[in-house]
Amino acid sequence: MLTTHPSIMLGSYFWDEDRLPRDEFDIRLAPLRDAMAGNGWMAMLVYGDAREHQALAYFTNFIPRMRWALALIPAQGEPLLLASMSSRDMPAMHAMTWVPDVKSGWEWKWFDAFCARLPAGTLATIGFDLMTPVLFGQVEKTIAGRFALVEADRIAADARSVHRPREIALIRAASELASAAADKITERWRAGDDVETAALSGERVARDMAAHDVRTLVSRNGGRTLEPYGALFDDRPTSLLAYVAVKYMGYWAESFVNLLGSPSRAAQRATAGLDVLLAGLKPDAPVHDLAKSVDAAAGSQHPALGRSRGHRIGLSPHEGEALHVDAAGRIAVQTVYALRVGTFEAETGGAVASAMAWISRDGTVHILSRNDPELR
Amino acid sequence: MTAENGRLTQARTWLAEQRLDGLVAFNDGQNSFLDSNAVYVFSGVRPLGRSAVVVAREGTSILIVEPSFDAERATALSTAQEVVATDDLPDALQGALERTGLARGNVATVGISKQSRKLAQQVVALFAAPPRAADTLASHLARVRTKEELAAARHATRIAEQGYERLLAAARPGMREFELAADIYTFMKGLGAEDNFLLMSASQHNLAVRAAGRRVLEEGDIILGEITPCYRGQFVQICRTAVLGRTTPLQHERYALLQRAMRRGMDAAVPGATVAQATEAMNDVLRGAGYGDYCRPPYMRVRGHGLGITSDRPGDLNDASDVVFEEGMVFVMHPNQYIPDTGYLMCGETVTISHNGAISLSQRDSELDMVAV
Repeated sequence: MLTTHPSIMLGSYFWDEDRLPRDEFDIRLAPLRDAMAGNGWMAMLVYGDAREHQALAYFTNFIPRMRWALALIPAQGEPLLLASMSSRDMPAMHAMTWVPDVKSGWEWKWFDAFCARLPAGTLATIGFDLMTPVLFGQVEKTIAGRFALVEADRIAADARSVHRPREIALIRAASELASAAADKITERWRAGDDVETAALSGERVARDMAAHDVRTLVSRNGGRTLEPYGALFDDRPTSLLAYVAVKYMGYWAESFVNLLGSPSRAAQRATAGLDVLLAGLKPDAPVHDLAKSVDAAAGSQHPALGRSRGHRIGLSPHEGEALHVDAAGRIAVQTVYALRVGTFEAETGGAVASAMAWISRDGTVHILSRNDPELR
Repeated sequence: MTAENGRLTQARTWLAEQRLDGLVAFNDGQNSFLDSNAVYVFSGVRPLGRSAVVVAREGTSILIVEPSFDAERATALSTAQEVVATDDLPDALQGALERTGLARGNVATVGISKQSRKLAQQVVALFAAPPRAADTLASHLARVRTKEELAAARHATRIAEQGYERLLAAARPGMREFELAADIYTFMKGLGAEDNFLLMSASQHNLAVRAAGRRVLEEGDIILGEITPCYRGQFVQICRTAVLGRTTPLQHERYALLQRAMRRGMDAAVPGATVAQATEAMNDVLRGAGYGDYCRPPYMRVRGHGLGITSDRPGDLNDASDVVFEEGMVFVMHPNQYIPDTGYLMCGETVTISHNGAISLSQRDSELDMVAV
């Protein structure tokens, strides 16, 4: 779900060598090194910003809390990371990545020097569509006459086609934080708090557990629409519908919280639809067929949730592979999905059932969390 | 008429002066406490995702926001005449440009240089003739705060001060920085802060302030806080320094330097004076005490700066800026400084320019504080 992006991401950001040791990144980088060797590329440049940084974080563990960062990975030798922060911030930036050399991106001489050390040829780029035209202009100015740029986003996507075991472990940990936040929202709302106060209590719980980021959406109208934090504290509808997403050590997890004033057909359909969705999570199952069967059980998706019944989640709250009837893909193993089935009826309001799940190679479905509508 | 409508009126006047048919302002959902958000300035809506405001000089104004589920909120808040909520901004923008005739008009864009290359390329392709970039227009038009904006800035400053009071009450040895940050961040959010660029860190000898990490607070730490809540589109900032335990006479002596520099800077910041003059007034105090070598990065960065998301004017307070202060400008002034025998110390207030200098919005200006342990 799209939520308000904060001006800076607060939380316990650092490179945890125990959870993600250097050899993990050697494994992650291997496809890039193979691509450079196979194509004769001199280096790969991986860009990310505060809003979207999944490839950058995957290869470097670095997450820009604000602005942008650019990893320069040469075919031979150690990478360089440029972070768009001042030089005095570099010690703090260095603590967030295994990359040994971190420099301020405000001093473009580092990019110039990196390129000067390479033989002329081709540089492969990842994430450059996200870059601003101004920054791209700086890159072009440096490489003019010496290097060609070739877009290599597909290589990064293929390298990340499944979640690695350490990633799944961290998404599981993030899911525990999201569940704790969801439980607190439920507890506080049942205790009489308005929706925003309850959501804020949930956020606090996750932040105390070292979350990297917490996002919430709440419904002020009993489940018809969702909206971001507005500091209004004035609504207490008869039903609670809230969304919470938590990032922990770079990985996202999410949950909906839905408490109803009275039993409703919408809630029954949402739960039934999620049952169908989880039952249909089979390796290589066509997404179209699965989404269609959920539609048959639950009816059309809640309008606030878009068309999709879910998507990949991990280093981004939305890693792609949306599950909807027009999707051509298939369900992948070793891939964590955030799932949601929502319904809306004018008389009784909205209801959402949500879960996070992944399938191991033997076909077993592992449910990391599940949250169904329940009576308040 | 609201402030935002006033800014749209100003924009139309500018379009007439420039003989332009219209403008399109952009934002990608990211908010910087240092930058103007052009979509917010022209519509009053802080968008979740990619967004645009289309203004036809003689016609309508249209706010386009992603995602589609944000329609109701955007409509309730928007001061533009029409609102379109979509999951495909370029497609909706194309429709708006066709409908207003601006696709074939003489048009300016605001903020396009801060969007992704992909979107910038898509946008340019929607026009028959390349649009003219006017990236600083929103910031320029909003450089002086309205009465309502100033009131919101004052409220935000009160939130910041309450947040700092909370920090003084909550900090204790053994606590991790991120736990303290979580406490004061959610506390200020509960007071109405819709965003907060909160830097808060501690050390026995700080080199600078940074975002809170996992360091465990110790007795004798100097806690630095750059507390920057946003309330109704107005970021403010206060810079504070507190010692976890007893303060020393030396710390007080050095801190008094920063306070003197702050007063000198405020006195110098009169309408018509330049940013460089106010900056030099602050630097003079520190130079006079023998710290001239440290009046440059990495020992400090700037002596203050403008505040988003309305307008970043007057920009960075440094000794090279010839920007002229105008009455009603709001920005933060902070002679924060590394000093060899105390480390980095912070002292700063959000100020507004009056006819006889800068006036602090804080109820209690920065002091070197002590947290009893």
